[in-house]
Amino acid sequence: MAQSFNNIIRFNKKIYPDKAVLSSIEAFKHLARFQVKHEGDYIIVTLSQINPAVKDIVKEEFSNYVLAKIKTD
Amino acid sequence: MSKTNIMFSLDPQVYPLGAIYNTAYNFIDRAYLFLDGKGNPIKNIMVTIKPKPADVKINLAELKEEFFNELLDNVLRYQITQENKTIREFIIGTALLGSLGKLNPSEEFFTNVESLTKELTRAGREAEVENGEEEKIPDKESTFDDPLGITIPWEEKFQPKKR
Repeated sequence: MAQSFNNIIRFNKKIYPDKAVLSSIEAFKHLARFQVKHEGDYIIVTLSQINPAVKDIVKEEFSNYVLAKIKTD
Repeated sequence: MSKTNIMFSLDPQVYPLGAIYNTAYNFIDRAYLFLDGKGNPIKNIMVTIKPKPADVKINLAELKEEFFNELLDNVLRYQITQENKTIREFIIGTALLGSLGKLNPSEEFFTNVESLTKELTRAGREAEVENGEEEKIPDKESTFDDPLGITIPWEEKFQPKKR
């Protein structure tokens, strides 16, 4: 995906609210270790120690989950 | 356009962010979506769509076209929602006032939503005072009848007992 390099996802704050990102981390914390950093207009989420069973899809699934959170919250 | 995903930009002046969220939400079961913005305030919203592994054979161009069709639908819904917002609030407001027995269409507060909201808040407080009602949060001590056991958690009700 365009804005996710390696295990880093850059969420634009004007599109992705903090609350949605943080509550998604809460939901995914059993699958990886998450680090959150604020950098200008972006929330930088770094994933590490990813569960090997989901390592290929966890970033994309996480991004989808954040989108769903925005809609349902 | 790359092989595994498709990327395009949308003008938020034409496609409101709310409509884009709704459209993206409708696609998350079939594809991975990512949104990004350019400019401050955002002048372009970049949408990236990548089909899920089960749908890799899906035609990316078709997926994009489908997205745009769905987006148009959502833009229309969004516009109607925005246009009818005031009317909706007004109808709900008058209905609530009616239920409080304060309905009198000749009153000044029926001329706009703001004054109606104020009147509604005032009438609500008045009704609470009249009925001697205060916001009460039921605690476990003040028990109420629950013959069907609705308040019992599922685990307690159906989990097999450990021996």
